[in-house]
Formats: sequence, C-alpha cells, structure tokens
Amino acid sequence: MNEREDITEIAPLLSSIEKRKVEVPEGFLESLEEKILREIQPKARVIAFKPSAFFYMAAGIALVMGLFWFLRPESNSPEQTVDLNALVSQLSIEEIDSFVMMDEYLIEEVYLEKTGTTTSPEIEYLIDDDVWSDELIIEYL
Amino acid sequence: MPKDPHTSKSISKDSESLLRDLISETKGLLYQHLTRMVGNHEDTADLLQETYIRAWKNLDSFKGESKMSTWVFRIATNLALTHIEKTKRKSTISIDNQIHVRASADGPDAEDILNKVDQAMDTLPPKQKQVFIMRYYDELPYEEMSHLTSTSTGALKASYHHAVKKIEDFLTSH
Repeated sequence: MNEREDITEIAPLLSSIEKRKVEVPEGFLESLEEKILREIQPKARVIAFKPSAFFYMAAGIALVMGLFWFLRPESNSPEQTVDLNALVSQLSIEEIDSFVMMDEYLIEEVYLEKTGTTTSPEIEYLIDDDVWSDELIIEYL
Repeated sequence: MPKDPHTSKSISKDSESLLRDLISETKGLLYQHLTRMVGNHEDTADLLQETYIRAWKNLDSFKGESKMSTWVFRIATNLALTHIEKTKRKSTISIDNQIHVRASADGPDAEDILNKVDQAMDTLPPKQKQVFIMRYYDELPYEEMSHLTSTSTGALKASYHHAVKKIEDFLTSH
C-alpha cells in the first residue's frame, strides 16, 4: 500500500491532485559538490593561495608607514631646525652646533647672512686650515 | 586523524570520493525535502551545505548502523527542524515567496489547490510537517522514516494520518 492509497478514504481531495514539484535553480546541484569540497579545505591552504591577501597586507603596511611619516616629530637636521633669518646671537647652542655639522661653505654663508658683515677672518682661518672644531666655532660665535 | 576539517583535516582521495558519492546520491532528494520544509532556496542552500559539512566533520563517528544516505538525511531533517523552530518563519512553498516551483497539474484550479496544500502544510507543527513531507512527497517507507526520526512506525502512521486529515480539512474549508 503506498501513501496515496492509504489516504484516499480520509483525504479524497488531497489524493486526487498531482503533487507539486520543487524546481531546482539551474546549475545549483551540479556545482554543489565542488562548493562543499572547497568549503571543507583547510583554511590555511585557501589563504596561502589568495593573492588579494598579500595586496591588502602590503596596502596596510604602506598606510601605517605613511601615517608614521606624516605624523613624525620634527627632525633635528640643520636644514629643518635652523632659522636662517635669525641673528646668530639669537641661536641656541644646539642650533649653532647644527651649523658646525654643515659643510664649510654653508657655515660661512650662514655667518654672512646672520651678521650682515664680511666673513670673519677667524672663521676663514679656521676653515682654511681645517683646524676648527665644534668648540672653537661655538666659542667664536 | 584530527576532528576539525576546517583547520587541519586532510582530504584523502578515499574520503573525498566518499563525500562526492554521498552528495551525488542524496542532493536531489535533500534539496526537495529541505525546500518543502523551509520554503525558500536561500535557506535550503545554507542547510544543504551545513548538512554535508557536518557529515564530513562527523564522518569518523559514523558507525554504519544505517545507510550513509539515511544518516545524512537525518542530519538534514534535524537541521531543518532546528531552523524552523529558531526562525519561526513562514515556511510554506508559495508563488509569492519566489520559490522555484512547477505545478504538475494544469489549470488555475489545480494551481489554486496546490497553493492551498502549501498553506495547509504550513499550519502543521514542524515535526508533523516533517513526517507529512517524508511520506507524501519523498515517499519514504515508514521503516526508513522510523530510522530517520527515531520514532516508531506506529507513531509515524498516526502522525501522518493526522497531518493528512488536517490538510484535507483545510482544503475543503478554504
């Protein structure tokens, strides 16, 4: 006795109609096996072969580095910390020390700009004979 | 062998082949059954995927006391029942909810009756609806239904007849 026979008496209307079929979207069942097998692969293997992961990682590193560069504290390099319009007498020991770290030409140029006078013979002497030191320059200025 | 396939379980050729065969054998019937239970393709697709992933995870614990297809069917039906009880959503097949259905009968009257059957089915308690679908649509023998639901064949027959009666009453009164 099948299910149709055993409901004929109690449900004549239901047993007289055709059953509705469920229609499967095209291609769904055909691709199901591959989809399931992909799903159960170890995650690490998936990540290892995912090029976009490297792209996002590189972009993230670049962003962080960019932020560090943008928000970095002011540098102590001479070019950036010494105010070239200031008088020499207004410069701090640290700033003068920065001058000393520059090359000879720049030391002289800065001196001329700040004092408004000719190059000091003492400076020229020290520079020419290459005997000047940080201390001497600072002492002179 | 590690238990979690998502992290470290390797897929041997044998187990992959076994899973492929299992999916191939059961996907059609499970799709039909789950769609009738939950009423839409999206939820059916999720449940179907979850069914096979769970089967895969628990493949080692399958004792072979029943056919593997029966075991997978049981996983699917339990997931469907949990889904229905959890979401409390309307789970009928109707033209309005964009389910892909095809009427076997011709004419507007037949279509109307089929819609009413769907509506009537949706008024059943989830477990009774499950029994009705297994018997009426899936045409499973009571013995197999008994394995699937861990319920006696007598109780299943009673449940099915109650469901049929309710649906017939719905059809004649609406």
